[in-house]
Amino acid sequence: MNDVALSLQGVGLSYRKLLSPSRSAFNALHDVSFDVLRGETLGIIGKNGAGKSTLMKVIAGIVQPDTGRVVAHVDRVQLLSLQVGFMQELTGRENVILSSLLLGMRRKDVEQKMEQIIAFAELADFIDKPLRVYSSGMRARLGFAISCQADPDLLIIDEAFGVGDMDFRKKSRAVIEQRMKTMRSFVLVSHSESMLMEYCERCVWLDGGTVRAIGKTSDVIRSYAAG
Amino acid sequence: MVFGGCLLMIRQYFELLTYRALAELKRDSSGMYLGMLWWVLEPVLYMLVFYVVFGVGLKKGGGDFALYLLCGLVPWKWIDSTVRTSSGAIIASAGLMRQLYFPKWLLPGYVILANTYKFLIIFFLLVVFLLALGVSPSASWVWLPAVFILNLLFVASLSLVASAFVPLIPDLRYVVSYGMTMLFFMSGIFFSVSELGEPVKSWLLWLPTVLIIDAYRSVLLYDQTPHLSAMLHILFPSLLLFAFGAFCLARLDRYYPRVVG
Repeated sequence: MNDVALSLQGVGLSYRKLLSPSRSAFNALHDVSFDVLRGETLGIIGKNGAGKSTLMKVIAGIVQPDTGRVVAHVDRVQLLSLQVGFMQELTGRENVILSSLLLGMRRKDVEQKMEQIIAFAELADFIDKPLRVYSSGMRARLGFAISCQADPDLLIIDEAFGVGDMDFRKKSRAVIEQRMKTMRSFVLVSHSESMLMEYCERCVWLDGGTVRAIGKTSDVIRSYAAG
Repeated sequence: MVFGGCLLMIRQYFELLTYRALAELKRDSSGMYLGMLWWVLEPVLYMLVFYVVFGVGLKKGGGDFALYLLCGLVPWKWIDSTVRTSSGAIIASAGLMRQLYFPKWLLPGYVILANTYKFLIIFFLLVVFLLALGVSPSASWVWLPAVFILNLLFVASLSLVASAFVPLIPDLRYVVSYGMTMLFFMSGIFFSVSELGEPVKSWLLWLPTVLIIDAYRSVLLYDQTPHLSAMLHILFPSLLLFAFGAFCLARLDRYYPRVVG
């Protein structure tokens, strides 16, 4: 049994336009290496433009780095993205199926979990109406209920993970906190030092596309605050 | 183990492909008072325009010119709208692509499948129309599935290539659009290529679209089996283009999210 869920090895990525006359490139990530362990919640902190969102996309397998490797030892690595692939014209129920299929679930499993999803989203009366009549809060609830069911092995969370009104925010937070106690791994990307202190034992400080520090959250945050 | 995993993934993507293609059709007709009736009405009106202009207005062809025109327009409409929509398919999903990974061939795939459903409905109506006008089915009609599969392969190959390259060089979208318009005028939809003079005739007979439309007409209207050489002439370039398009989409699979949007 390997303790490492996912490992980044010397990852580098630069943005350059294909066929662009200038060869100038913007280095978004340079030689980034660290491991995400099984069952841990790893924090990532860094200023705007430090390469956090590019890093998230590399971890989630959305883009391939130019140099280095991302080695995943678990099956499903996903960004927590709500309302994936939602279509305005479809009903809530149809969107549940479409979105869940995109998130990697099988059709028959979605059908089985349908009632659970509807109950969690608190949308019993609206589920067969087209999405365009939903309020933004209703959409957010439905989106969260679906991604809860997807349950990947490694989930990357960007900033706050509560959605909807006060009550639903509590409920959604509770689900994620519950998951954090299992062997699933999380990567939490945040500006909020208090949030990282609360959830993460280890933290990575990303600065200018490179890893400035990695280690115990309190230590990393202290040096981050010192600049 | 690896093989089982692959198989599961293919089934998974197949479920997604078919569900999303139906959703695409639903989107087209939602919000309209006439709803799904538009799948039928739209091509019928489109064909009516050509019939009025070329059949009545220009007094071209004989009495069965309407049938001749329809046998060309129905497959052409399938080719044309699929290639045009596919060329923008990856760009249109820029947001989704940055949220999660999925194989990018699915994007032109939805378009191809949705348009194929539509074509099959309209083709069925065309056959009903032919029968109503006294065309009797002949033994040559058994060739229809073969012609359909060749046509599908051709549509898919052009669509994959267009969808793969337009996101890299957005200017190509205009090239695709003008290219399709040119192809429309060169494909013998409202005239017969074989009546043209040389050397234009032999040039145009290289075009797979000319051969596809010709195959439909031979089978449906003239009780002839399509020429084997013509079928192969559609098959090989389509297979090559299909393989090329699929290869490019696979190679650039995790590159598109970096350049699009």
